[in-house]
Amino acid sequence: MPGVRELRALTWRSLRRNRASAAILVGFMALATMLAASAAALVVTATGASESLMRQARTPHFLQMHAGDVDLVRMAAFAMSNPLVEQWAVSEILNVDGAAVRIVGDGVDTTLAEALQDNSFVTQNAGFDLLLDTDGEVIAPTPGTVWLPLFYFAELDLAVGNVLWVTGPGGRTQLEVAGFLRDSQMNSSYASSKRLLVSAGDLERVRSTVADAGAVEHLVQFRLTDPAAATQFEEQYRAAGLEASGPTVTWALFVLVNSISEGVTAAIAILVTVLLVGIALLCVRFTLLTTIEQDHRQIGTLMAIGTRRRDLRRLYSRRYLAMALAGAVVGLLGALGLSRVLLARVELFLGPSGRELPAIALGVALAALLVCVVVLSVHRTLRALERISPVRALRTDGAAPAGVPRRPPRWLSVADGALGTNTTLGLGDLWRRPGLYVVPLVVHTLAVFVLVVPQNLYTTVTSPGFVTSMGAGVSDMLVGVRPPVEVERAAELAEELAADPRVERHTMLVTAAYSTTTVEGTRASLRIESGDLGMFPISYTRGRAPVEPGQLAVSALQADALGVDLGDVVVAEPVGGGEPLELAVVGVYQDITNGGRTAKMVMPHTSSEVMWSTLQADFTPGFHVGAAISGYAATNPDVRVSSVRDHVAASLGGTVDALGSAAVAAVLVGLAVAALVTALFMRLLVARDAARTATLRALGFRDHQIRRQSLVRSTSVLVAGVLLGTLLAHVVGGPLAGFLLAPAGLTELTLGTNPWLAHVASPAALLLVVVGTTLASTRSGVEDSIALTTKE
Amino acid sequence: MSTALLNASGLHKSYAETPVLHGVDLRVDDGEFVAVMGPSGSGKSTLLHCIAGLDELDAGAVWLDETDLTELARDQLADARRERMGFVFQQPTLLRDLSLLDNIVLTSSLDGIGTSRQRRERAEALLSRAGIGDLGARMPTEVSGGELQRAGICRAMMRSPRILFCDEPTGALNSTAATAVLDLLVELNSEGTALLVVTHDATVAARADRVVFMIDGRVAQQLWLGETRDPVAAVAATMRHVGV
Repeated sequence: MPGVRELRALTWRSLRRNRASAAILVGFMALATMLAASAAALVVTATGASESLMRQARTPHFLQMHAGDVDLVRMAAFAMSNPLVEQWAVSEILNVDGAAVRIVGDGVDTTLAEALQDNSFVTQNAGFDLLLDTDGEVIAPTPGTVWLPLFYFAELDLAVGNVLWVTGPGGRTQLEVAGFLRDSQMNSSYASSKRLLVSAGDLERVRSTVADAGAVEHLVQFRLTDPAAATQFEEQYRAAGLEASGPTVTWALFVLVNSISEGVTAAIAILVTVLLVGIALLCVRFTLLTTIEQDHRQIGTLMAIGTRRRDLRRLYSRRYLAMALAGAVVGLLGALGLSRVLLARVELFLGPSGRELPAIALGVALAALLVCVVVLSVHRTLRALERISPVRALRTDGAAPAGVPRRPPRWLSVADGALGTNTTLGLGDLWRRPGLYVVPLVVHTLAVFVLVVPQNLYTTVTSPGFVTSMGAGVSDMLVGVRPPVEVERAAELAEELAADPRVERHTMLVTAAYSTTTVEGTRASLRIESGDLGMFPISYTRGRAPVEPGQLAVSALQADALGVDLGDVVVAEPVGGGEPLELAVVGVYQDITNGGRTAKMVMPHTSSEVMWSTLQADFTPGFHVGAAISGYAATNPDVRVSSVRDHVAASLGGTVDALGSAAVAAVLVGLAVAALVTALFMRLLVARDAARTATLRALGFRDHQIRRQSLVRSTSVLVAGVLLGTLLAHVVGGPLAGFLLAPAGLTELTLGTNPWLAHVASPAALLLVVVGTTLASTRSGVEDSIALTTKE
Repeated sequence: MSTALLNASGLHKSYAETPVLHGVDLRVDDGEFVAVMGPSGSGKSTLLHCIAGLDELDAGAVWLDETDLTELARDQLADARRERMGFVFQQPTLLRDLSLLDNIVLTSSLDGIGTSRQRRERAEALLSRAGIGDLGARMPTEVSGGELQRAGICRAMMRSPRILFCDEPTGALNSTAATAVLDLLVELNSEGTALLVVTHDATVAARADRVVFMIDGRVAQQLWLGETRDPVAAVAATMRHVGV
């Protein structure tokens, strides 16, 4: 075949000439493959492990929760007569307020309220719905011990040997943490309930401890002969009029809940993959078109001597196939490392999947798919070869595309422009070839978004005012008086504050336990804080603060749990007896403290079951707040004395640290991607514009003047990207952050901005990176010999 | 005696170990029209590029007035090209995204010479003189090759350079367009602009004051046309004599 040697030489010359571009393309491909393969491994392993766990635990196919008594005789008759029923059981669970469960150990002192879950003490089931240990064995708890969900092991940093106390009207029960359990129904953080496994004797002890404060529910569970018939069975259950005052859950939902946490991670990885593949494809197209332009004359020559277009196409596509394959191999190797990190959590929560090979196979298949996508895109782009006329390619330099270029507006005319020649030429190029700059624009927009949103989130949650969005007012000092400290200590401290001349103002808020009925008819516990709510006000997302007796404000999570909204009336029955309160809901606020389910009123409590008290105080200006707080903490070691900042840190737990790390990581990723893409595009533009640059130099343009034109192009695109990215962050950032933080109780989040960080420092950092990269990437191209590109 | 505007001596240049220029000496006087002829590969274009500072010399010196161009730094050389030289290439090198007028005012605009109005007026005057006065607003892709080359000459003349370097200025044009371009160059020369023109075309060389014949990177012969009655025949005869 004529010209094969020339074509091969052309291929390698082009690769050598665009070494940096090739490396960047391989990098994008590797990153995309790594994420896609890891997401695949995550999905395959998580579903496999979930199935395996549900098989071992013999998860029920149908579960009906019921808040009242269950007629066992009637239930047995139904089960016996229904051919779908393989096994059935009714088990009792004892719901206990998370704040009443305290766990103490080496470096640990926490209550389960911190984790925002509903907690139930249960005993092991017989036959099915088994709670397993981390070796997959059925747990038989010994008296005096408790097995906690793995969720708490991960969230609260608990350990075997920790001591758990349950406190309530009946005193206190102490249990030792014997281990952590896998619960095939409620493993995930997306399941809002958690089961704590104890022996039958200990369940009775806990029951008498919590007395009225605990609520008994029943789980009516069935294993079916045909799991696919769950819906049909549900209809039969309803038709039989059996106990059903609570939610119904079927096998399909258990599968979903067990996989959703990993599913969200996989979804994010897939989204990022799609984004990376998109950028990679645009880069491939741009690189390829540039190469064809550069090789235009040689292509014309090869065509003239009889090389078939098919062979030309094949040689170009081979080059990209090689790059895509290299990226895929590197990406697959990277995926081995990344999936190990991602799968650690799956193995902990769900156990082994037994699907290692399918996971790897799917990863390889996805990598192959990505390679195919790149090759197809290359083939599509190579249609440009069809448009090359050998005659035209040989007669002219041919690199210039056919047609009349977009005519610049008058203000971009060199003759009339007041912006300076180099600026005018730089901007004119943007005007002439806007399509070229779409990729850097998209990348800069995303980079700004990625830089700014985590920063804003961090700024928001660390601002002192944020505490008012969490259910607590802003004050210099917070004092928490919680069991086992006696209730009276709160009153003593209030007197101490009143007598302290440094204290400008203070208030005491007392939280007591009530119960109420939800709109679904089930019983629910309700913690109401009472006191002067106007002294240190909080922010209300809807409505306003209660100002008179008979008014109630509820947290967003509590409103959801009770099914109430503004204007509804809640009947609060005091735990331990007392006069019920009829309270109209006048406000809804966000709260991530004390389990997120709280309420506030100004009228005095009728419940004698005081759970805790909070004192807030402001100091007279001029006093050193830190010293005053330390002084109170030292003289009152039995209570928790903290500043607002400490309170935020304690309430948000690791979230603030995680957000801080995420913000730093986002800055690095955003800057790195911006630098890579700028480098890639500037190198390609230099190659593409070699003839133009040579002409300018022949006319007497200095190197720095030509580089200034490149700078105008890249910084203009960056400025547009900064504006778009900032707009995107404002429009989408809040809802996105709200979505991500919803499990922590922040359903409606208004992102605050640190203008200095978001609008000055971040764009300035990006500008530095883009300017530096542009200068570095354009240096060699601009300084190439003029004669090589102008002489013919 | 005429004053030397450009004086090049002992020019050596090799590409990848292949010598292209072997100690070439060349002088262009103020207002003189010098044509350089030679077969392909004789080094005439390389000579032009090296003298104009578009390519680097291995050895030798090039004096433009009192300045040794080979001693200048890159930026100083760029300034010299912009302020004191003009270039016309075989392929018109106008920037395709700028109108003809914008192309012509480019370097004056870069240095802020005059007001934008003055620059525009001068460019329009040059275009009119070149016979393409109504094409200033056109883009390079909208005009013919001859018109483009004439616009290129206008661009080169915008700063009134002392010397114009032309590399095969009529090489890519038909005979009508070539004549128009050549007439324009001769007219500029008659007004005092020195020309150093590399050409294959005897009719172009015949309009010069002097023709330099190059063979294998050396000056083989020089022909002063002066009052020669039939310069084309004289050039053709010398070409045959030296083997061009």
